[in-house]
Amino acid sequence: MRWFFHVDMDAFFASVEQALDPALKGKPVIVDGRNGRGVVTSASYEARKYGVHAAMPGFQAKKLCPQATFLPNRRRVYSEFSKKIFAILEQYSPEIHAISIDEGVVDLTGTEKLFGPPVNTAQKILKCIRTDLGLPASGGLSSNRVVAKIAATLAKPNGFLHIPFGSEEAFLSPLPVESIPGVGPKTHKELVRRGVKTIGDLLSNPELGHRFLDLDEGGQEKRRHDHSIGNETTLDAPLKERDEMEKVLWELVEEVGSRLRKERFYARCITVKIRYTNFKTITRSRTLLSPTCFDREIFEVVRDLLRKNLTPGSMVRLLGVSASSLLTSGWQESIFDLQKRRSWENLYRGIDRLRRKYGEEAIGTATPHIRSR
Amino acid sequence: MEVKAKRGDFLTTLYWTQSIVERRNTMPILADVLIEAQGEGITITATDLEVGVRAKFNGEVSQDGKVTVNAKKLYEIVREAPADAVQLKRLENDWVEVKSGKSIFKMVGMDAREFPQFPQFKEGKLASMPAGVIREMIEKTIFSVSTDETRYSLNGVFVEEDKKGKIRMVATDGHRLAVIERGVGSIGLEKGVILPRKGLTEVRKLLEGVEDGVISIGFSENLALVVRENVELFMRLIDGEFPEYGKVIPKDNPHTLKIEQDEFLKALRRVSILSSERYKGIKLEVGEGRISISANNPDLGEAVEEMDVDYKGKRLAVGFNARYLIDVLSVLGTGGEVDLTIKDEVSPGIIKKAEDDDYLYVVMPMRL
Repeated sequence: MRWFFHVDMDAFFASVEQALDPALKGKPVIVDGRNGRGVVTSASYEARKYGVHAAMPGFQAKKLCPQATFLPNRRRVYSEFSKKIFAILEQYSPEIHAISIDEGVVDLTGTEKLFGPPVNTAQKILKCIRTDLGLPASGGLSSNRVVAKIAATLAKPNGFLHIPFGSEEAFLSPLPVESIPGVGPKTHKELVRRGVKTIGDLLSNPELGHRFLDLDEGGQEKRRHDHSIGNETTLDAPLKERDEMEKVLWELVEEVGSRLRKERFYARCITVKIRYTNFKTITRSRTLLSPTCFDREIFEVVRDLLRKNLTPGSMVRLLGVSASSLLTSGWQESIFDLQKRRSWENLYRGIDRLRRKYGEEAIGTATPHIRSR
Repeated sequence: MEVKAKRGDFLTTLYWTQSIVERRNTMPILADVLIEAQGEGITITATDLEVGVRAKFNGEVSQDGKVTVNAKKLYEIVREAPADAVQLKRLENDWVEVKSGKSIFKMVGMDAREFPQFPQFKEGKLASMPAGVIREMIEKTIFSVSTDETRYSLNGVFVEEDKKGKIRMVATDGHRLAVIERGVGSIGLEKGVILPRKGLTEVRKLLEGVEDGVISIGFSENLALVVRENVELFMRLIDGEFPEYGKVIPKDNPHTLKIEQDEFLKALRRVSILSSERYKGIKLEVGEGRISISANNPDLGEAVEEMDVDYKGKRLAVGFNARYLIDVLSVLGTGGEVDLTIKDEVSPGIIKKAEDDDYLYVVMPMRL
């Protein structure tokens, strides 16, 4: 069973402004649309009470709520906050899908062992965003992505909604069809013309239901080709020695490699992420001549990227490895590595089989350090 | 310096410099040509430090000397010049005046003494080679050179000679490999060298359409020199280790197909229209007496074409990058049959002409 946690920030830009300037807290704040020009890009909940909403022309907002503080758009600042939000999400799962600057999905499937029940984890994530960053956030948790998104929207502002497995349809049925992401005014009109008002109406019509609301998570799997498979870890204690970092990276690589092989993917691009203790974060990637799913080959690239990009003497607090440009077909092997790659294919098939049968610890590399050839 | 020469002579000479001058502007003077006048001879030189060309022609020299001037602009000016003669004169402060008919151009030059020196070669070290054969060897290998700049040692053609006076050229990008061997006599190479793609592209240009005649080739330390008539070309050798290519040439591919070369090439061109833009994957399915070439692209559709071939082996289906096959079939010379030998769907295949054992093309299958 899958767990998707959809996080959506409330009045994101306006909330960031309020977080940065306590004098604005509890007051109507409107980003953009100053002097009646342009359109509002974000309105705080206090301003929404007066009927102001995003995408409203500035002059109209001014008329509805003249006492509001109108601010210019500081995209850079919001984007900094966005990065911090996603950094929090990334601590709970390697599978993060960013939807926009203030909206993302965390795949909490399989995190139970590490973090406990996803219902608690989800609330922990929201709490972390609210207290660490001082921003209101809403979340929806469900076994299905679309349901999680709808739940997050309904939970606003600053709320949380969990739709237990099996109760998705009961939750959705009474909701109006326009709650479905992607159903805009035009589609809505067309559906109403056909007598479809609620999601329940839609679900009882299999043809329409399938077109507008795909509750089958299997359908999502196919789209994962353009995603990446990654793994990162915040270190227990910051590290300074490259040797020590390589040990950590080796463990991350083993995890990435085994997931690639499990899904039968070969990755053309390998990325290393390094976060220093001052929170400066760098990511460095390399595109490979022949895509790979073998730990040894991934590690060679990872180690080289680390050597070339690590600032000597700096303390590192987080390391990450990810594999992207995932392929199942459409490339050639290198003529020169043919024999080596064949033996690795056999080796890793064997390792994976042993691990499936006897557990992760059944077999490991004797030395995580692969000396230069 | 003051010279006057035929517009045509200027133009052909400047033509050789155009693809050599530095585009990246690391050193401004490398965007210029050096023009030197002495006695009756006018010499034009261009270089990007990796590759350089120097060509000589005759004209009226009223005053010896040298200037530099922007290569692209001078070429354009001479090309559009209204009269049959072009006059070049050095002015104060490295300015250069170009006159033809009633047009006058004044261009900013640079201090000619700053222009990099063309390397010196000892006369006796050059060996004469049949130009047509060298051109063929370059054409049949250069397309396999890697364009991946991180794989530096594959960015050129490996050249070596054996004791029997045979020269071998090898190029690979890691996915395919072309090897050609021809008996042309010794060029005085004790060990193999890697000639950069850019330099060889210039040599190929120099030899375009040439069947007869000779060129001179010589090596000194980290440089190679090629001379044809009044044009000299030098290139810096690639300092790297070329992979051991001998080991990857399959010796025992059990299945051989004999295919009409021209038909095969045309069929590949047609079918690959519907293969994916990026990977150009096509599938070859062989069975007794026939081959089927197909492409399948979920976004576009599919294509299939069958051909009769001379084949008696077992049924096999192998994927290839169509471009890699088209590349080699395009340089094999038209007509006749081509041999494709394969082993299985994951091992490299070989393409060659039955009558020419000295040109082999090894190509990796593609996972489909």
